[in-house]
Amino acid sequence: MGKILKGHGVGKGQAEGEALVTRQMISNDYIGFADGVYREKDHELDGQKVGGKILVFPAGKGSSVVANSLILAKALGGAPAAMVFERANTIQVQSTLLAQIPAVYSLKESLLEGIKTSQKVKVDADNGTVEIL
Amino acid sequence: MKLTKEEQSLLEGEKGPGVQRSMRHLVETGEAFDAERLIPITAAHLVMLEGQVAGPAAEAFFGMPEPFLEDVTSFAVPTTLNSICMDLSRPEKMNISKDVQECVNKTTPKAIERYVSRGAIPTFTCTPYTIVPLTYGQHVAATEGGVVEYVNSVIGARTHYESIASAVPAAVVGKVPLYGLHIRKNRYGQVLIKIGDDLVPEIFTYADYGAIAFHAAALAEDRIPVWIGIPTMSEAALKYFTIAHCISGAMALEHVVGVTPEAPTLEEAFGPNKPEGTIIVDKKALDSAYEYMSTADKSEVDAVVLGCPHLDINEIKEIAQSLTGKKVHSGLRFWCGTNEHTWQLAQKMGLVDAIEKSGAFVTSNACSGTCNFPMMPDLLGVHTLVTNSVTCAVMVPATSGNQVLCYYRNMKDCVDIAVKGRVS
Repeated sequence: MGKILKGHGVGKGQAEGEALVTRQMISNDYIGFADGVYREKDHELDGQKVGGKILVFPAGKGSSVVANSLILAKALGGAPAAMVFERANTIQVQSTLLAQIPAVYSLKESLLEGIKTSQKVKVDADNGTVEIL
Repeated sequence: MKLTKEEQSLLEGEKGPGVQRSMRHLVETGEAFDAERLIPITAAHLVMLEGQVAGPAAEAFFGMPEPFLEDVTSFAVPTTLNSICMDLSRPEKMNISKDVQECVNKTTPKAIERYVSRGAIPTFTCTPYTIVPLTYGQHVAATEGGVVEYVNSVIGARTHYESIASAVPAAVVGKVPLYGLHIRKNRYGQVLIKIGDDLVPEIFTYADYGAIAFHAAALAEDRIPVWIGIPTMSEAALKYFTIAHCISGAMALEHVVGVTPEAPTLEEAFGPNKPEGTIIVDKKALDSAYEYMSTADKSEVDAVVLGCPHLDINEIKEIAQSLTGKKVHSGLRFWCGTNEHTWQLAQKMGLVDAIEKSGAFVTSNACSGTCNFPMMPDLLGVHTLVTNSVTCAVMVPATSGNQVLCYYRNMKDCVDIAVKGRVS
């Protein structure tokens, strides 16, 4: 069993995948619904594929449409497999709940230090844990 | 979470599946934030996304609210509605082709019926508080970034930053989980924002207010800002200023010392908090925001959008005055957007005629700039637009996949560009 990071679960379910870590806040509005490519001018993830990944970021941002955007991305295949974030806010938590994407936030240790891009990780929303595989 | 007997029965499905799913969503949200209980709200504001856009996107959004509305006969609290996608009563004036009208008519009337038949108030505006006022300290559930920011910051009512999809369950049940901005101690400032010595707030345009807020909010991220150095602001200035915070940042509340109600003084704005940092917004920051939001490169302009559709009567008067004796460039669409209440007032004052004499149009209830141009760039023939709205300038390129690009300019420059047909 790999190292387990403990946090607060949002919603239900588990997902495994490759981690993609950013130190900048993200908006679901910029995730390509079908191709899963993140497009935000001057963002460090601009042009990178987040679809199917475990997206790790400080917090969500953006307009009130972000939940609908994530629901649509989930339906059309572009959504991340799970989300792990440092700070919870209403729009991001409700987005993951409504799109039924497992999420964990507020890990005991700084999550951006604890998880590295390309690591295989498992997110468990039921237990609020992230396991480095 | 502790639920009352009545709440528990709703969760068990006593009032039908829509109420049950809505309750479940509120409980799941509450649990994610360790909320102890639900609290009643006195009003809600909803965005009918399926009626605010048109085409395939509207079809895609249609199914989303349905689980929460199944067998629900009326919303539990007074519920206002956001803008719709087009001015349905004046399509010919907007020079909208039959194709576009048909596309809109497939979904928008059905969307309106869905909410109005359940008792929603057909305000169709992103400034609902101007028609159905709220008061300080009221607990409400609002979505639409601009409404959330204004309601929290300027009115001092309390709302979460509800996403569009999550405001429906709150309106159905008439409650929200008690956490975050509904609790006074979570509403104090966290980061200080100062106006640089090389800027003069007294001569800020609406676009300047949007630009400084857009720039600073990106740096403040999700910390509640406290602005100092802005002596006074009009309702319109506050509208442009507050909404820009949620486009680049993630806060749903900001304070302006001496202007907004929870910030009579710097000390009261921060309460027990120590400022986590200071952001200075100077001339360079202002210019960089204009530059960031100006993504277009062609000098020929297809459309000018003022108010999308948030114009108040004073702004409409300003536009009418600046268009006096002028003609909008042939082939360019110049849309000025407001709500039906204000449109009627402007009509009575002769302002609609004054503006339309120039070739511009005053549209009612329509989120046309932000919603239609990105969804139907080819049908409407618009690929380059000019606006003084941060939302429009940032969201249109994003939602159109960069098929429609923008120039961010102040109102006076927007009018000049509409006349010339090009950005010089």
